[in-house]
Amino acid sequence: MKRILIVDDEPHVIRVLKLALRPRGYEVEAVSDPREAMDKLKGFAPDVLITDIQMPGLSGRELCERIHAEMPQRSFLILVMTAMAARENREWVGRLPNTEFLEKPLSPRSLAARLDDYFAPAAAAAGA
Amino acid sequence: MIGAAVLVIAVVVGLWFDRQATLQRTNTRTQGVGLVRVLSSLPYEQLLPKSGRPQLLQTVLQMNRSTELGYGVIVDTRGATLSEVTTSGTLIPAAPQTADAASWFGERRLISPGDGRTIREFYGPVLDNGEIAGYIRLGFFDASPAAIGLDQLSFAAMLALPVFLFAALFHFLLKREMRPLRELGERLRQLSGSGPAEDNEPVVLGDLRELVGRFARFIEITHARIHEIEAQRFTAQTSSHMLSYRHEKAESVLHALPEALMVLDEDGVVTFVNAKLKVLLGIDAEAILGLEARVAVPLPEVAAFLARCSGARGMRGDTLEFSPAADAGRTIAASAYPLFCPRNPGNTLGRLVVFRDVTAESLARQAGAEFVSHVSHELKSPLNVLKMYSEMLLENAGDSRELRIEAVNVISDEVDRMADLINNLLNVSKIEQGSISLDRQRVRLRDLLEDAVATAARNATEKNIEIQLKLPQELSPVLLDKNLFRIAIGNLIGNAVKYNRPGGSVTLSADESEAEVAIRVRDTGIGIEGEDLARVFDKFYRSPNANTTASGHGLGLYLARQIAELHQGSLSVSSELGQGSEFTMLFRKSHAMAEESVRI
Repeated sequence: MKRILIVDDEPHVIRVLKLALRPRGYEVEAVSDPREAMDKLKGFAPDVLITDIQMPGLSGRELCERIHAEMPQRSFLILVMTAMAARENREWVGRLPNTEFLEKPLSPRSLAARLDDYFAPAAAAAGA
Repeated sequence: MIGAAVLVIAVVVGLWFDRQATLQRTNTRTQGVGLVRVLSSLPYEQLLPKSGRPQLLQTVLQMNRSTELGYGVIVDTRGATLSEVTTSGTLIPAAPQTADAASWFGERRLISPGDGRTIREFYGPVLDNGEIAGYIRLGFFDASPAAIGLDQLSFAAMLALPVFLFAALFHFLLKREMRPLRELGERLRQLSGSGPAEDNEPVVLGDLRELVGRFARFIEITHARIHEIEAQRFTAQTSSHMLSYRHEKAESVLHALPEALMVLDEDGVVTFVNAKLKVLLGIDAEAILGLEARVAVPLPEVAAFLARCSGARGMRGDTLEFSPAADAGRTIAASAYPLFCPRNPGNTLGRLVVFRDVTAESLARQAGAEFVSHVSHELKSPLNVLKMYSEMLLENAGDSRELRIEAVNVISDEVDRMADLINNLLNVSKIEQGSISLDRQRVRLRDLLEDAVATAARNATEKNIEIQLKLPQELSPVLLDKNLFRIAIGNLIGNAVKYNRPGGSVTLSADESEAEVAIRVRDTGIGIEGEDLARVFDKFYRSPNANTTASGHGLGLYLARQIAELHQGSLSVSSELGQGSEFTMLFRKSHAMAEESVRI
């Protein structure tokens, strides 16, 4: 079962993503305080981490850079949710390996489709 | 004959001295009257600057060092001194001034109280907006003949020599011409046997008189010419001093500008800097004047900029924004402009570089950018939730009744949150622009507070929070803008409900003293601590420690405080972690305000 970790201070986002992804066979965990995310990563190794950018306490960018510094060999994909695909965000997201944008407003359906696509080759390989 | 020549010289020298003294007097009068008229026509502020330093009088006195100008004084209409400048050792004689318009300008003789010398004083009116405000008096010492003689001795000596030689030459010529006459006279005497030898003398004296007359005319013409040249020199001197005065004035304007200025010539050499350069960039004028800017300016980024804009390419307003290393908190903008030659605009004379402190603009720009970023985030967050829940409704509409109810509730809440934010934003913007005007009315607080509780009750009941209202029997009316006050109280109660715990309570109370009414909103929530307590009224501040399920936007308390302050009231907070918080709004009572306005 593929594991998804969501980091967002907006509880409604966590709630809807859980509702949308769990029925599709994903194991979804979430933290609403980004400062708890690093601890969470020690106990829960996700395949995909989804994070917001603008959060109180620790920004999405700071979180991503901290993950990159502490886990340079990480294999999981990071999806950065942002409505502002501004140049400054493009720059740092582009610089971090295995890190992509996830456009806001978020469509749970298209996120699920994207995750399915992302995991499809691996699933196909496993099935073969 | 020698006696006659000496007589001629004595007469010539005497005439010359007399002419010289007359000339000196005329000269003094020309200067005195001219100066008084020039000074009298100047604006009052230039004559009597507010600084109290009679700079102009000083300049006039200095430029007339060659003449006998002893003092310049400005008196008011009663004769009291307003401003004075004297040469050392000079005492200004007192002199009454008549207010008669016909005698505004004039000349008079006074005796110097110090050494008894004669003073010729010229005076004229000082006008302030067309009204006589006083008189300007300039005193010249009468030049003594000795002074003239000593002054002009070399000239007299030079003049005396040709006169003497000419007289001698003339004597011999005359003697030669007279020889036939004399022989004739001798023969006549021999013929008559006797006769006075003095018969020919009147002829000689008559010729001498004509000669002296011609000399006198020659000297007169020479003196007229000298006088003309003197007058021209004086005019040129006056205008040159006026020019340098204007130059100084223009320079002082440049020094007084709030911007720092630097002028570079075509080779990039610094030719002028104003005083502000030291203030703004800490660069001493002496350290860079006359040197190449790109080498002499100690700030590397500025030096590079100056090198760039003194090149041929830097024709149009180049600009640079930088923070000096010594004061990183400041932002300074440098702009370079070409200086075009006024007679030939195709040619440039160099560059003018203007440095401005743009810290405030830069901070405002940054704050503006942060504001836009905050607002767009605050608006897009609920939009995101709306989008997600509406998609969920579309996909799972038939699946679960509970999910449908949840989605509809969340959508309704998020729409309220957006509406709240937009209303608060509009009010904040109005208050910050100063475009809001208070519509103060005499308000019954009881009604207003009861309304506020009723409005918040629905939301509170949903969260199982009780709202209590504790009011005294009597409450004086206050002068308030009802609508704004409702927003402030609404935000306070809304927060108290939002950051409360289930089963908690919110208490709204009011009490009054002689002059003030205090309205308190107390909750039984988590409380606020440390930095949060200090920053809780900051715009867009949301505590990172706050219960993250609460959907605030960081404007409610800021707006409530702005509204309290608009009413000359205050809003403060006290809190105990785990126990709850209490917000206190203080307003002056209407009668206290009325009394104050009467006093004002």
